[in-house]
This record gives sequence, structure tokens and C-alpha cells, in this order.
Amino acid sequence: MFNDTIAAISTPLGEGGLAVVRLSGREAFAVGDRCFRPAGKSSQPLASAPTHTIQFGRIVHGGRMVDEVLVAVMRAPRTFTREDVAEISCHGGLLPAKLVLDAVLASGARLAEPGEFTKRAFLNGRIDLAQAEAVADIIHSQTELALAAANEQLAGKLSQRIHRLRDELMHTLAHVEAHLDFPEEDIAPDTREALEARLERSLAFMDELLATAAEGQILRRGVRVAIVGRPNVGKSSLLNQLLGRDRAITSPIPGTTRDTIEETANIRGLPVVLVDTAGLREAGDAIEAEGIRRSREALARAELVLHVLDASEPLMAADEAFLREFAATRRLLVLNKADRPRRLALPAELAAGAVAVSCLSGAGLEALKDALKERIWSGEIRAEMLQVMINSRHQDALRRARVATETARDALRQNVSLDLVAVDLRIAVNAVGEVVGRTATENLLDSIFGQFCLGK
Amino acid sequence: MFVYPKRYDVIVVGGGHAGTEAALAAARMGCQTLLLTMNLDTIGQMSCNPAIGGIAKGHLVREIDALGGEMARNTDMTGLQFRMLNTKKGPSVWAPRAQCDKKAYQFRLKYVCERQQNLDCYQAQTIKLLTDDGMAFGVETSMEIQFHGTTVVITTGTFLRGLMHVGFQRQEGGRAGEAAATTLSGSLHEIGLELGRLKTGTPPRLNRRSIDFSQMEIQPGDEPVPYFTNWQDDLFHMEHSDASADGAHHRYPPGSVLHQIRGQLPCYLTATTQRTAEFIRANLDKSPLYAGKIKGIGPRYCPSIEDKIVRFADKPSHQIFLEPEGVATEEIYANGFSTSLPFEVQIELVRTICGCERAEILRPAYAVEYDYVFPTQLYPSLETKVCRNLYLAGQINGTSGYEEAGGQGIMAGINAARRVRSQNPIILRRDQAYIGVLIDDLVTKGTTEPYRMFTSRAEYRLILRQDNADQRLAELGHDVGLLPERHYQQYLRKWQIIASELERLEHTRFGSLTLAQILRRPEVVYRDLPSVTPGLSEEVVRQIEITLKYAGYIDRQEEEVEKFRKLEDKAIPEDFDYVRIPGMKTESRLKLQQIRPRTLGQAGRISGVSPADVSLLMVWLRRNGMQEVDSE
Repeated sequence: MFNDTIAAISTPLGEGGLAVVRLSGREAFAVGDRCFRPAGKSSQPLASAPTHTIQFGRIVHGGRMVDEVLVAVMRAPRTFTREDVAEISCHGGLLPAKLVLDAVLASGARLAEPGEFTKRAFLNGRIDLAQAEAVADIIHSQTELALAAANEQLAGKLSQRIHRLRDELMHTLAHVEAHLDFPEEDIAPDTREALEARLERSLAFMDELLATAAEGQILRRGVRVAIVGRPNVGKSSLLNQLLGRDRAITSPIPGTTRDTIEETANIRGLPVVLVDTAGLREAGDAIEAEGIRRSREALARAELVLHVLDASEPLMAADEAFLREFAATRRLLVLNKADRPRRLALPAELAAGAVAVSCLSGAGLEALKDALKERIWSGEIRAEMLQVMINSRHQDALRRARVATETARDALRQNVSLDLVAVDLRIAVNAVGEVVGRTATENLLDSIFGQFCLGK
Repeated sequence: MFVYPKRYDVIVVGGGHAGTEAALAAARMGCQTLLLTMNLDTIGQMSCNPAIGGIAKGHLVREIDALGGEMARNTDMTGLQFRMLNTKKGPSVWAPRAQCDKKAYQFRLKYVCERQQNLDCYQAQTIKLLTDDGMAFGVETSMEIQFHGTTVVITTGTFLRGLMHVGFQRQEGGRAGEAAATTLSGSLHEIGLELGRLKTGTPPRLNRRSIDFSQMEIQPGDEPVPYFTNWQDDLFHMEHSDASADGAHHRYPPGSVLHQIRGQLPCYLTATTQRTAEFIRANLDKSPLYAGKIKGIGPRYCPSIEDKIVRFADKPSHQIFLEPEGVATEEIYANGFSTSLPFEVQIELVRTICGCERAEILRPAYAVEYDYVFPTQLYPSLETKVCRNLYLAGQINGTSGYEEAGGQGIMAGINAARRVRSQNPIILRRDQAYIGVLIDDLVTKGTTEPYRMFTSRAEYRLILRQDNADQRLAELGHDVGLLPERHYQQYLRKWQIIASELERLEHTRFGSLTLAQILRRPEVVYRDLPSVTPGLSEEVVRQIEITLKYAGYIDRQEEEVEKFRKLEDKAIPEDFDYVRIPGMKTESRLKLQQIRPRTLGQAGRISGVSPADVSLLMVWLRRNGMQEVDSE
């Protein structure tokens, strides 16, 4: 009945132990297999897995592991929607679920409309008539919620800004329409230059909004922070402390960490992808050599470097080598083992920004987190941003509006006739209107009559 | 009581711009048709400005013509000044406009009606609609004559309980000097139609000899004349063929007003002054509008001069167009100067207009209030929901303007005729015609002010151009049996020529480029091409230029249309019971129940019906095996 495969996060957003990303449609398993790598000998690709089984593995996206997951495979028709369904259980919280969803969408699924799973269930006959009322409620509440979310829940600055943007575009369109519909009236709609200036303002405004979206990208994707230092200064211990659990193997033997380890930590509300690097020293064997190569790669992509030094020992040649290597990089010096007597001496300009911690006792870690956040993110982090940014539909609508507005502006510059300029302006107004749930024709005439004295 | 012995297929009440188009359409489609009018001498009367067309309205006229209507030809034969408006802008907002000879217009239209096969005209005042069990079967006149017929089309304009205001003087009437239809409203109310009240106004008429035009800007007509009709051959060859003996003025249609006066008359542009504003402010208490005596709602786009002065106080002056009412009269229409101020104020008021210092009023301005039927009580076929076989068209549905009336009239005529033959109604889509936009707006959203067409009401303006009205509608007009075969053949030939010329341009190379690519450059026109096909008409050349030059924009709009059609093609069964959908908000259910939208797209345009409701409706229809609307 339906040709496409839809996906959405099916658990409430927020902190929780688990989150579920649901896929439904005839391509559900094929789409899933594009980003799912089974792990362990009993797991297999979704397409070949028996129905109503659970597969263990990893979700990968763009060559990166996103999360370790369990995937429930349910074949039609014994599913919620009566279509093939895969439910991916990932780690809880907004971020992992969002990353898994991104991976699934990149693999060919379409983001589900509000209530669409239920709708399919109903249409495919899974829900009988007696349950129809519930369906109605769901469709209502979800669609209305989506609108309410745009209009009320985000009653903060952002929503106001989107309304202002729409008003401004509408105002511009009204001027263009007045030129077209009332050429003989002695009204004076804006000149081309003035219209162009208005559109420039709207474009700047959209850029501002989309920039917030870029900030949102950081919020979603995470900031990459590499942990470097000579062997055995406590890099892995620091990683574990920041993650709050044992992920990396720590041991006093140098070079224990043979591979790059990436983990996402929630630091002061920011997703930080921590990259622990294998000791960047000359390789003793092939395995180490490979580890070092990967570390270098990881370093190249990092947006911030945490350079760990051992405060209980004097500065060594290897430390100095790291200090030189990252002199030009955004970095933060971490002086570990602060619980021991201090024997490290640093030049004053370096000592100034350094943070002393003890991975053993946890002392200084809070200060480190503050310092980290400070370096990555200058502004304030508001829940509002997260809420808006997770709605990719809004972002998509704004982008379409921007393209259309730009086309309209260029057309104005090239002296293209106004009825053609209006084509793109309407597309822009409608696109922004999608966010707030209104179309262009609705208030257009009100806007025209409100501004001009008409009446030949 | 006398029952007229002839039984009709279609009875049209009202001989205005809606009524004549309805009657002519039904008769031309082969139905035995009766046109009832209070006064045969006012068939096709232009109660306000004797002008046809303008932005969006001109589009409507071109569409009426492409379907096989009369308005365009009647304008072409009786116009005294023709212009194409907006030519400095793109093709979608070009619009023909004509100033007509008021008397010539109505008498020619009367003559056309009288000569129309299958059409009887009869002078009588209709006082009552005859119905039986929710079905119309005729009308009764004030002389106690009953006419019986299968369908009834009511087009009463401003005559339903018309009340005219000049200052605080009030007088019943549909138009200055004419009686109102006072009882028909009651008849409509009785069958269950809800009526509202609207207001419109008309400016004073001045004596040309009392005006000093020397201070005004002159507005000449365009040459060559931008005629309205798609079938110009008819103007020059079919009608009045004996008149062509006079060879001197071949450039105007034989027998036309232009032919008689051997040229076009100009209009004039002037303006109000500071004194106008002062004078109005001093007399505002004498305006029935401001004193709250007029209850009807007037149009925002056509405000009275006192409205303009009050609402836009910082504007030092407002422009006034002085337009001739005919070639054999000195009456001048003061366009932009409608008012309901008392006559004694008007006398001085017009003299504050620049160049009108000594102007004499021939007829005072007045406001008229009238009943209208809330158009949401109609199906898109213009048939009423409460009474089968009863159709309403024109100002009675809350519109304003001859063109809006004509557009509805022709559709009501077509659909009444199709009902007689038990055929499905013709409903024009929003991406197909301005007439489609007009009717869809009326029956879906209703209106609270006199509804006038604007191009900004159309989502797909670039596709609904005046230059391609025939491409959009001629086939349909022919299929329903309205557009004559010879016009249809002309249309086919024209578009064949266009298609083959486009084909040639796409495939003929000049250097490394095709001719089409060269023509797409903004600065190039068809004539500049290194190779042109000789003898192509202006309209063919223009069509070729538009098709190539605006292809990108037109394609983009076509994509929008595709999206729109997705919901528009999802039919809702006529008897769909909205109570069956549990969980729908009562308010939405009532709206849907009342409007009875034909498609999901239409449902979404009803104010108060949310996307969630449409979604819910879609789910239900799908569950129950959705049908696609058949394309007609």
C-alpha cells in the first residue's frame, strides 16, 4: 500500500535508559542493513534474520560507529503497522537516538509524519474500527502538537523570530502584489531597490536562524575533543572520569591503549565526542603503528585538544614535543595526578590556562568540565535550541525559504518582471508558513488592503 | 393563476451579466431556455462604470470567451476605448480593459439574446420561486404567471431588497430609477437559504461640457486595439457582413462603436485637492456610512472617497479617472469618487476636484445595500445545497463586478443544462481558470465583503494567463457543446502552429545554439532570430516567446500544481457522513458538514478545518477505498 519506509524516534525525547528508533515499510530491513553491522556470532543482517528475533550489533554512519544497539526484527504482517518493522534500541538520551535516526534516514528512510505509524496501522487494517477514536486522538494530538510546538512551546525568541520573518516576507510580497494588481492606483509600493533591501534583511534573518541551526548541529553531532599526552600520564583515566564509567582499559603499562577510542560524554549539556589516542610515540610493532596512524587521523579532525601532563613528574622531552606540536591548536592543558606532590614546572603563559585534576580522586574534574564547555561553546545552551533543532522539518523549510528568497532577490536585481519575482516570494512565504502552519494566500489581501489606499 | 404553456429546461431570472451568460450558454447548448427580466431595456446594463476588464477581471472575460460566452465579443463591438494594462510587467498580469458605450453594450446584448436560438426573453418581475420537496420547478411573476422548468438560475444582482442611500435619503431600488425585488428574498429564505447584507456604491456622473480637461492627463486607447475575444475573425467577418462595404475603416470591426466613431475616445486622469479633504471632514456627520445608517459591508478595494480621506489622512490627494459613459452622451463617470454623502454636499464636493471647478452633476453618487446569499450554501456547480435544480450566479453570491458575474453565469448555465441532460457538473479547478478560483473561494470560504477578483487570489498566476485562456478552456467549452465547432477548429489550428514552430526552434541550429536557446535570452525577441517563419500572427509569436522565455518559472509553478493536485484529486463522496469519524472536533465536523467539500483539497481550504482534520479525513477515505475524481 505504501512504497516508502518511514522512521522516527518512538520513545519520548529526553534522558532515559533506552531509546527506540522505529523503521516501518517494505524496505525496512534493507534500509536497516545499510547502517547496521551485526556483531557476535549469533547475530545476522536484518534481511536474513528470522521474524521476532533480536540482533546485536552497531549502527554506523559515515564510516563511524554511532552506537551499540539491539534490533528487533518483526516481519509483516504480525507487526504494529502490518509492514516489516525494525526497532532499534540504542542508548538513552537525545543524542544517541538522534544519531541513529540520522544514520537510518541517510540509509534511505523518510522521516515519519506525526502519527504516521498509527495511521499506517489503521490503514493496513491492524487497528479495527472500535479503536478508531484513539487513532483520531493520536492524529489530532500529534499534528496539533507539532503546530503547538511551533507556536506555543517555542514561544521563546525563536518562534517570535519565525513569525517576524514571515510577516516581513509577507509585507514584501504585499508590495509586489500591489504593483501587479493595482497598477493604476496612485499608491506607492516599494521600489525595486527597497524591495531588494527588504529581501536582504529577510535573508540575513534567515541566516541568523540557520546559524542557530548550525549551533544545533554541534549540539547533535557533538564536538570532537582529542585527549593527547605522552604515555601513562592518565589519558584513559581522564576519559573514564569524563564519561563516568570504565570504557578504556587503564593500566600502568605504557601503550595499553592500542586503538583510538571514541565516546560521547554529556558535558554541561554539550555532547562531547572524546577521542582517546594511542600513545603517539614511535611504534614498536605493526599493531602499534596502526594505532598511531589512527590517532593522527583522529587528531586532525579534533576541534579541541586536551593535553594531559603528569603533575607529579618534571616536564619530559616527550611532553615538550606535544606542547610544541599543539602550540597552534585550540587546546587545554590538564595537569593530572594533582593528588601527588607537584614536581612539574610550566612556563607562566602555559600554567595560566591549565587545570589541575586528579583522576584518582576526581578532584578538579568539575573545574575541567567548566573549562571545556567554556572553550567549546561561548553562548548559553538553551533547551529551546535543542527542541527547535531536532525538528529537521523546520530546518528544511527554512532552507527552502532561503533558496526561494535568494532567487527572488536575484530576479529583482536582474530586473525580472514582478509577477515572476512573486512566484519565488510565494514559495518562500509558504515555506516559512509551514513552520507556523499558514499559507501565503490566507492573509495576503489583508496585508495589501492594510497598507495601501486602494479604490479607483 | 396562469401556467405558461411552454415548459422550459432552464429558466434564468435576471438579465444582467450573470443572467445573460447563463441563458445564452444554456440555449447554445441546446436547452429550451427562458430569460426573465424586470425590464428588457436593461439587459446587460452596466450599473456602475461601463468598463469591462482590468487586472484579473480581463482574465475572467478571456476565459468566458474561451468557453463560448458573449462578454468579450460584446465588449469588442461596443468598446470606445481599449487598453492592455500592465504591459511593463510579465505576461501573467497583462490584462485587457475597455471603456464601453453603456447603451450600445446593453442593446447589442439584448439583440444577441433576442436572436439566440432556443432562448425566449420575457419581461416580468419574478416574485416567487416554485419548489416541491426540495426541488425547484419554476417561478411565479407579479402578474401571477407561472413558468415551469427543470432548472432555475437566479441572478438578481443588487435587486434583492435593494436600498439606495444618498445622504440620509433612502429609497428602495436595485439601481437608480429602478424598482427593487422585494419578495424574492423571502422566497429564498423560505426554502432555507440564509441571507446577508452587502453594500456597494457608485460615483456621481458629470456633464462633460462642465469639465475643464486642459489641466488633466489624457489617457488614449492602445492601437492596434487589444480586443478581448479569442475569435477575432468573427468580429471582422461574421457579424454585420454587409457593413464591410464601407472599406475606409477596415481596421475596426464593421458595425462596432469604434467603427462608427472612427477612432477611440480618451479617458482623463485628475485628482482631489486639499479642499476635498477639508470639505469631507466638515461634512462627515452627513455620511450614512459614518452615522452607522448603512448596515451592509462595503468592499475594501473600492472605498468611498470619505473612507479614503479618513483612513489615509496623510495622503494629500487621491486620483480620479474621468471616463466617458458613451459616444452619444455627455455623461462622464468619476471613477474613484463614490460617496454616500447627501446630494447638496456632493454638488460642492465634485467642484473641489482639479479641473471640475464648474462641474455639473447629472446623477448623484449613491450607495446601495442589497441581500446576498452566503455562497457557502452552494455546491461548486453553483447549485444550492438546500434546493435541487436551483442555481445562483452573480452578485447574489456576494461578488462584485460584471466579469465575476459573467464567469459564474456561464458556469451556472452550463451546469443547469448538464443537469437537464443528467450529466455531471463541470467544476473548474484553481489551476485551470480564474473562474475556478472565484467559485472555489466563494463556496469554500464564503465572503463577507463584495468579492472581487485579484490576480493575487490565484496561486498559479503564471499558468492562468489571459493569453492562454483558450488553451486552458476551449476544449472544455467545445466538449460541453457550447463553443462552436469553427472556433474549436481555429483554436486547434493556432496551437498546432505554435507547437510546430516551437518544435522547429528547438531543432534548428544556428552556430552552436538552437534557435530556441537564442530566443530564451532576455534581450532577444522572435523577430531577431536568424530564421523566422513568415506570416505568424502576433498572438502566436507572443505565445512562443512566453513559452520559451518563462519556461523555468512555468515549470516551477507546474510542480506546485502537481503538489496541489495530489489532494485535489482525492474525492470525498457527496453523501459522506462526517459523524462517522469519531474524534473529529465538533466545530470542524459542522464546517465540513455544511460546506460538503468535494475533494480533500477543498476541505483543507475551509477556514477552521485544520491539517489534522484533513489528515483524519484522508485516513477514513483511504480505509474505505478512496476514489479519484474523474477529470471532468
